Amino acid sequence: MPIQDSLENKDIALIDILDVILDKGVAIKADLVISIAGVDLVYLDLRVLIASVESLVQAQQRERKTVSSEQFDRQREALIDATGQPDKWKN
Amino acid sequence: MDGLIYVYGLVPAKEAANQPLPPLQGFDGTGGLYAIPMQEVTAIACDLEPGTYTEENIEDRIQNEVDWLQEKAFHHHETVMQLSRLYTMVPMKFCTLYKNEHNLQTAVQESETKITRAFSIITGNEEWNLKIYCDDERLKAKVSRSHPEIEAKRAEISQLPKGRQFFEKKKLDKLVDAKLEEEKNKISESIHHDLSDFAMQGNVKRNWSSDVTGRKDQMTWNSVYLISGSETERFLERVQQYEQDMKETCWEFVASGPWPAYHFSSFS
Repeated sequence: MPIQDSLENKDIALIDILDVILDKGVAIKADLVISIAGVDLVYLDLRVLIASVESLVQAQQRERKTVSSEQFDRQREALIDATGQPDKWKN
Repeated sequence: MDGLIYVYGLVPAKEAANQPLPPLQGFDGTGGLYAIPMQEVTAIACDLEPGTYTEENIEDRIQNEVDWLQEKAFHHHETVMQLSRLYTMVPMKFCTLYKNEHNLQTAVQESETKITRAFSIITGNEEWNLKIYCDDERLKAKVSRSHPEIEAKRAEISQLPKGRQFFEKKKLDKLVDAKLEEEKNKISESIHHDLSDFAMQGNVKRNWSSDVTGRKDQMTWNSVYLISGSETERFLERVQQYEQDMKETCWEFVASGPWPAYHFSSFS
């Protein structure tokens, strides 16, 4: 199997996505346009980073899946159970 | 129509005319995506309720509502990924909203030359990210054992009286740290230089701290490449070769892609 095919379905961590979609990409300025300023990753809530760890755990399992929010939710719960940390996502 | 328009990206009008837009759900889960054809450029967008989003509340939610950010970031990414498979796409930044269609059209028309130039840069090419990690402690031990300058310094210190040895050893530790950073940069830069030969463009990004990566080893290199579709496999084979050759010496390579061309279609 070509390497590209094996990588295409690999999970991408939320942090990787945020790194590009908050910082890169085009925002053509015009009157009245709403566009966020570049957001530095270091200012983002550290809770976001747990999702990044989850994805690494999953990457090690080398399963072929596409990324979905539901999948992350399930993993997040599993990680929270495993670490005994409080669920910071819940209010 | 005077409602908020969320724009995912811009595609060449000809491609949009030839390839119908698949049914995709909009940002708020209600309504779908639609195309806004202009002269050379077609925007792919969805409608949002007027008044539901302002610049302030979007920034506030990004900073404070992790659930919302996670869900919407994935939505944006997954949507842009699907569209990038169908079209040559200039992806918009997350949450780029226009207050009405006329406003969007004016903005696009004013930048049309730049947008079409961006299309020609990314057509047929793929964006790939490479992160290189290194186990600092293992490499440090190796550098400390084998670097000639450090070896010479160590021999020199062993000849000194005990009291002076203490301070000189402290200095030696700093020298080892400096040589470690030097070695990491030298190796990473040479790999980047080599891999850049497969790419049309290569950009170096900032490394993330271990807090961000959640890993024990350190990120020593973070770069993105714009690679011709036909060269991608060779590029990845090369990365795999580095991975195999250097696995035993505390290095790890993580390539991801193809990404929408976020880093290579930006213009100001």
